[in-house]
Amino acid sequence: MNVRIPRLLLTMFLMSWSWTAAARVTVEVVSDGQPVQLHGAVVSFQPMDTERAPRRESHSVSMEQINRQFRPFILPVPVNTPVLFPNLDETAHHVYSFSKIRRFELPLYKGELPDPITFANPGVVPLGCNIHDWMIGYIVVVDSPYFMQIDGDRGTIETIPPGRYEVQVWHPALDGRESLRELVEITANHTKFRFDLEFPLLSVGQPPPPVQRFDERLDY
Amino acid sequence: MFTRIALLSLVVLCQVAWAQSETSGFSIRGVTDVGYANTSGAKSWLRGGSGKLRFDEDDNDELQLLDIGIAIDYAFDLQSKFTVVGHRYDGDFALTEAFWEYRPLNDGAWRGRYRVGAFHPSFSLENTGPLWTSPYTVKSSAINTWFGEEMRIIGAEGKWTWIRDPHNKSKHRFSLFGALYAYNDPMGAMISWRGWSVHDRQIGLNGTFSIRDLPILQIIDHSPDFEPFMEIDDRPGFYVGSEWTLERRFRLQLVHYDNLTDHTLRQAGQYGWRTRFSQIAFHWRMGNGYEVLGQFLAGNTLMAKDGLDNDFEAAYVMLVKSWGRHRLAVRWDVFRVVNQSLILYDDNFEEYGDEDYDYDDDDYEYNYENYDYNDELGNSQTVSYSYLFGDSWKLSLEATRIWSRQDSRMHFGQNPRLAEKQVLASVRYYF
Repeated sequence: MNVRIPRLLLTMFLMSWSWTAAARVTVEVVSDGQPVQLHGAVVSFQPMDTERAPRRESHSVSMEQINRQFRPFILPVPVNTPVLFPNLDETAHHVYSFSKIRRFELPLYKGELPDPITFANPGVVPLGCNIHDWMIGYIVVVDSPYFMQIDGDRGTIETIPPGRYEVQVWHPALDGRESLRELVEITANHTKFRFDLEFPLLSVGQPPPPVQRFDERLDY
Repeated sequence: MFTRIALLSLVVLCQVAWAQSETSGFSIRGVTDVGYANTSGAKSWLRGGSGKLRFDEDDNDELQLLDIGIAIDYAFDLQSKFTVVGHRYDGDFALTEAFWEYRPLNDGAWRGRYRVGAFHPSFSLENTGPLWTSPYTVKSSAINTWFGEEMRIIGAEGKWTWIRDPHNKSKHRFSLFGALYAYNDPMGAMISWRGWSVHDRQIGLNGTFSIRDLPILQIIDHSPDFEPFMEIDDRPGFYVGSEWTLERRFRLQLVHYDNLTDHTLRQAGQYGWRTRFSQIAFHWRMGNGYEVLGQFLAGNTLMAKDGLDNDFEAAYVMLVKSWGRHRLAVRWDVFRVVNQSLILYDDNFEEYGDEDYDYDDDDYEYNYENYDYNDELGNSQTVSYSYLFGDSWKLSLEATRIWSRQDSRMHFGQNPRLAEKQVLASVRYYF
C-alpha cells in the first residue's frame, strides 16, 4: 500500500502532463523481420486509461465512387461519423453492405447525394455494388479518435497523449487468423511499435475496373 | 438510299431526344451498321439460293444498311427493368427480344438474376455486345448465327452465382442457370434443310424466312415460310447450364438444351422438331490484349414420326488481339450435319431407308430425286480487323471464306461442294 500511493500519484502526474505533451507514434508491420507493404491498413489506438475517449466533433466523411471504383479503398471513421456516398461517375451505382455492423443498400443515381450513413459500433463494413460486381471497398469503424492509416510499410500518428492503449491493425489482406492487437504503453520515449505477421498476406487488393469498350457489354 | 439516310437521321434524332440515363424511367440505346460486302460463291439462302452468307453477288455494288437496332429500357429501379429490342435488317423489322429482368440484392455470397419474356439465352460467350452483336467480328460464328436465327428463350430464366468469400471478392465464382420456355418447337429446321450459316442477322419473334425449294417441302406439305418461334405440342422445353469463372480471366461453361418437342406433331404447315444439344464453351483472357474463345456444340434433331433424324456438330476457336483502339480477331469454324436416317420418301412420306446409301463414296451414283439429303460438312475462316473511333464509332474490315459440301445441292443440279468468299467493310455507330 505504501508503495502504491506514490505510483498512483506518479501516474496521475504523468497523465496530467501527458495531455499537454502529446507523443508521435509510428507503427510498422514486418514479416520475418522484413517490412511488409500494407498500404491503407487502419491502425486504431483504443485508450485504456480513461472510461471513454474524448469525442471529436463528428463532421462527415466521404466514400466516393469514381471510375467504377470506391475511393478510398479503405476508409477509417470514428463511430457515429456521418459517411456520405457521393457518386462521381456518369453511371448509377447500387452500393450495399451485409456487414454485421450495419446492413444497408443505397441506390446512387448520377448527381444525387442521399443522406449519410452512420455506424454506431466499431468493426469492418465491406462495401459492394450490385451493378459493378468487381467494386469493393471497406469502411473501418473505430471507437477512438486516435487512428491512422499505414502508408507503404509504416504509419505515423502525429499527436496522441501518452498512456495505455490497445493498438489494432486491420487490412483485408491480413489472414483471418492473424491478430494484430496489442496492449501498449505510449510514453514520450516509447513511440515505435512493430507487429510481426504470423501468416502470409493474402493477395487481396482493389481490383481495377475492366476496360470498358462501347462494343462490349459487361456481364456482371 | 434516301430511306436509309432518313432512317439513320431518325436514329440520331432519337438519341438526342432520349438522353440516355440510368435513373428510373426510359432510356434508349442501339446500333446502326452500314457497309459494303463483296461476295462470291452462290446465291444467298435469303434469296432461295445455296449460299450461306447474308449477301451475294447481286449486293456487291450496293451500300448495305446492315442493321438498325434499337433497345428501349424501362428501369423501375436499379434492380429491375423491362427491355424491348428491335432490328431492321434488309427492310424487314424484327422484334428480337422483350423481357423483364430482375437482379435483386441477395446476401452477398450469392446473387440471382431472373428474366421473364423473350430473350437470347445466357450462354453465348461470343455475342456479348449491345443488342446481341459480337464485339469481335461483324458476322457471328456458325453456332451463334444459328442461335440468333432459331433459338430464343420465350419463358423464364434464372441464373444464380455463388461467390465463395464475398468480402474479399474471391477469385472463383460458380454459376448455375437454366430456363423453361415455350414457342421454340420448329427449331432445327434451318440447320437441317439450309445447313449452317455465318452472318449477323437475327430472326425476330414475329419472323419467318423462306429457304430453297427442296423437294421434301412439297412432299410433306411444309409451308414455304419457316416460323421458328411456334408452340406446337403445348409442352415446355428447358436448358440448364453451369459456369465457372476465375476473376475476369477465365470462363468455362457447360450447357444442355432440349426443347422436348413432340416431333410427331405438325401445325399450320410447320413441324415439331425435337432438338437437343450439349455445349462446352470457354473464354480465356490471357493478358496483353490476347483472348481465346471457343465453343463446341453437338446435338441431334428429329422431325416427324420415323422421319428425319440428324446429328449436328459445330465448333469454333477464335483468337483475339486488342491493342489500344485496334482489334484483330481470327476465327475458325467447323460444322456438320449427319443424316442418321436418310428419308426415301414416297407420296405418303412414310418409307425411308439408307441401306444402299454411302454418302462418303464419291463414285456412288445418287438417285437423289427421292431422298432428302441433309448431310453437310464445312468450315469457315474469318479475319476481322476493327478500329474504334470517338466514343461510339467502329470500323470493321472482315474477310471470310466458307467451304461446304452439302448433298442437297444436287437437287438443284449444283455441285455439292461450294467455296464462298466475302470481304466486308462496315461502319457501326453505337448509341
